[in-house]
Amino acid sequence: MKKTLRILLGASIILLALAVTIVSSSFPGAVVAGRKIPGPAFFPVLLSIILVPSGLYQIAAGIKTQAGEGGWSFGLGAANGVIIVTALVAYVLLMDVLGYALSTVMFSMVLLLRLKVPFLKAAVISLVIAGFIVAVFGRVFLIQLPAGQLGLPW
Amino acid sequence: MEIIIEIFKPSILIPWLLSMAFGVLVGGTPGLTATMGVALIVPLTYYMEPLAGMAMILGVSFTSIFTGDIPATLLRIPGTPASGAAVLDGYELAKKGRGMEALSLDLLCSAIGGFIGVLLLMIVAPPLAKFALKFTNFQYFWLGIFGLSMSAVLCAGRPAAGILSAALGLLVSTVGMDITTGLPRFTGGNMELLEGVGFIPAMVGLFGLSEVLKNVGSEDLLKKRSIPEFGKISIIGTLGTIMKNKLTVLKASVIGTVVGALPGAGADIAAWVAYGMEKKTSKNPDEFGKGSIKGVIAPTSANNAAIGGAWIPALVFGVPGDSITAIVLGAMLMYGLRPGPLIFQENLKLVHGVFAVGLASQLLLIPVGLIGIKVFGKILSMPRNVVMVIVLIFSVIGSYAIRNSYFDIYIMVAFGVAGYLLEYLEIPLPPLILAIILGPMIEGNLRVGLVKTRGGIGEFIFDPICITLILLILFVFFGGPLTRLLKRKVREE
Repeated sequence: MKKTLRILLGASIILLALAVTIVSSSFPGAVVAGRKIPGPAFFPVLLSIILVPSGLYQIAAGIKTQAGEGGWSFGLGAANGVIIVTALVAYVLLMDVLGYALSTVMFSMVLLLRLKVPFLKAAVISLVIAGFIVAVFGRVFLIQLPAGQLGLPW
Repeated sequence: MEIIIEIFKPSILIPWLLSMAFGVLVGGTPGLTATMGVALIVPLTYYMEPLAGMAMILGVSFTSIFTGDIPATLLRIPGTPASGAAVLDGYELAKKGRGMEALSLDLLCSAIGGFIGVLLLMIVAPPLAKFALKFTNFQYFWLGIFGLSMSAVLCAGRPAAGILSAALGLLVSTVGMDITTGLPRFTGGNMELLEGVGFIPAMVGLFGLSEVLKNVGSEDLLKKRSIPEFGKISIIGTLGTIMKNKLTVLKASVIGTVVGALPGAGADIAAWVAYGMEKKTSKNPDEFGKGSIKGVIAPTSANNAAIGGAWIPALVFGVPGDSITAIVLGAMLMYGLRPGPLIFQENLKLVHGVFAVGLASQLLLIPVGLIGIKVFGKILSMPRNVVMVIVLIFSVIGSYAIRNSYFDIYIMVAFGVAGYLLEYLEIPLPPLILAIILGPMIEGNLRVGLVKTRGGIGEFIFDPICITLILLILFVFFGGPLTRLLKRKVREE
C-alpha cells in the first residue's frame, strides 16, 4: 500500500508542478517604468522547479519501498475514516438547513454511536457539547453560529 | 515601588485577572488564537484607564500563548499557532503518561521565558529595535528561508521529505490575491479563496483531523483513554528539571525575544527557531520528536519570550512585532497615546507600568496556568472515542469561527485528509504549516527585493547579514553530515 501511494504521490506532485507552470504562464507580466519585474507567476514557477525533483525522489523512494512495508495500519478501520469525512461534509450541509445546535447534536450522536459509546452517554455528551459551544462561541465570543433555514435559534 | 502599588490597585488587578482567565479559555480552545483573544478584549478596555487596558492585553497574550500548549500536549492540536512546535515532544510525553510533567514544565518555562522576554524588553529595547528596523528585503527573505530550513531539515530529520513539505506549503501560500499586483492566483474563480487558504483551518485540519483519522483507524487505540496516565504536578520536581536545563531555558528565551522583536516574526516562528536550534546543538538530536524534555523546554520558553520581544519595536518605534502588537498599537492610539520614541518622554509612567505588569504577569501565570491545566486536563482525559468526536466538533467550529465560513470547514477537511496521507508516507507536517505562514513574507521580500535591484541578485548575497544567514542555512542542511564525516575521518586517523 505504502509503495503504491508513494509512487502516486510523486507522480501527483510532478503533475501539480506542471499544472502550476501552465496556469502561471497565463498570468500577466508585471512592468514598472518600462522594465519587466518579477510578476505573479515568478514564485509559483520557482516552486514548481523545486517540486519536480521532489516528486521524482518520491517515485524513486516508492520503487525502493518493500511491498507490504507500512507505518500505521492504513487499511484497518479505514471505514471509520471514510464515515468521518462523509459525516463532516453532511454536517456542514445539515448546518445550513437545521442550524448549528441541532446538526451538532445529530453529528455527535451518529459518530459516538459508531465509535461504540452507549446511547444514553452519547446523548448526554452531544447535548453538553452543543450547549457549551452555543454558550461560549455564540454568547461570549458573539460568533454568528449558523441559524439554518428552519428558523431555530442556532 | 510606586508603580508596583499602582498595578495592584483593584481597578487594574481585577480586569487583569479576568483577562487572564479569558486567555485560558481562548488559548485552550483550538481554533481561537491569541490575536483573536486580544482583538476581542480591546473594545472592553475603551473606558478604562490606559494601564488597566494594557494589563488586560498583556494578561490575555501571556496566558493564551501558554494555554495553547495544553491541547497541543494532550491532543496534538495546538490551541494557538504559537504552540505548533510544542506539539512535537509534549504530545509524545503525554502518550507515555507524562502529560502533567510536560505541562508543568511548559508552564514554568513559559513564565521564565516571559519574564526574560520582558526583562530584555526593558534592557535592550532601543538598540535591538533599531537593528530589526534596518533589516532589508533581502535579509528578511533569507530570514524566512532560514526559519523554513530549520523546520524542514531539523524537525523532519529527512531533508528531502522536509523540503517537499515546505515547498507544498509555500505553494498553498500563493493561492489568493497576488500581494503586489492584486491578481487572483489559483482560486478557480472562488471568491472565498481570494484572501488565500485560511491558516487556522489548514492548521486545525493538519494537526487535528489527521490525528482523529489516525486514531479511528485502530480499534485498540479507540478503547484506550485519551491520555494513558495524566501524572501529577510537582513544581519542585519541575524546578529541578529546569535547573538541570537552565542553559536551554535561557538560550531559548533569548532566541524567542530576538525573533519576536523582528517585525513579522512572531511567537510561532520564535518557537520553531528555538526548537530547531536546540535540536541542532543537542548531544542527542535523535531524542527530539520522541518525548525529549529539551524539546518541550525550548519552544515553550521561546513563544512566551517572543511576546516581550514583539513589544520592543512596537513600544520604541511604533512598528508592530507581530499581529498582537499591531492591535496594541491601535489600542494605544484609542487611549490617546502616541506609540514611538516620544512615549518614553510623554508617558514614562505608563511605560514603567507596562514593564511591571509584564513581569508580574509571569507570577500570576503560574496559579492561573495550573487551574487551566487542571480544568482542560479533566476535559481532555476522557475516553479516546469521546475525545475524538469532541475534537472533530471543535475543529469544525474553530475553522468556521474565523470568518463565519462553511468553505473554511471544507478547507479543514481537505487538509485533514491530506495530512493523514502525508504522515502515512512519512512526510512531516510542521514544515508545511510553517511555509503557509512564512510564504507571503518570503515571496513578498523576494519580489520587492528583485524590483529594487532590477533583477540583480548580488545584493541578495553580498551583505554581511545575508552572508551570515546563508551560511546558517547551509549549516542547517550540511552541518550534520559534515560533522559526522569529520568525526569519522578523525576516528580513522
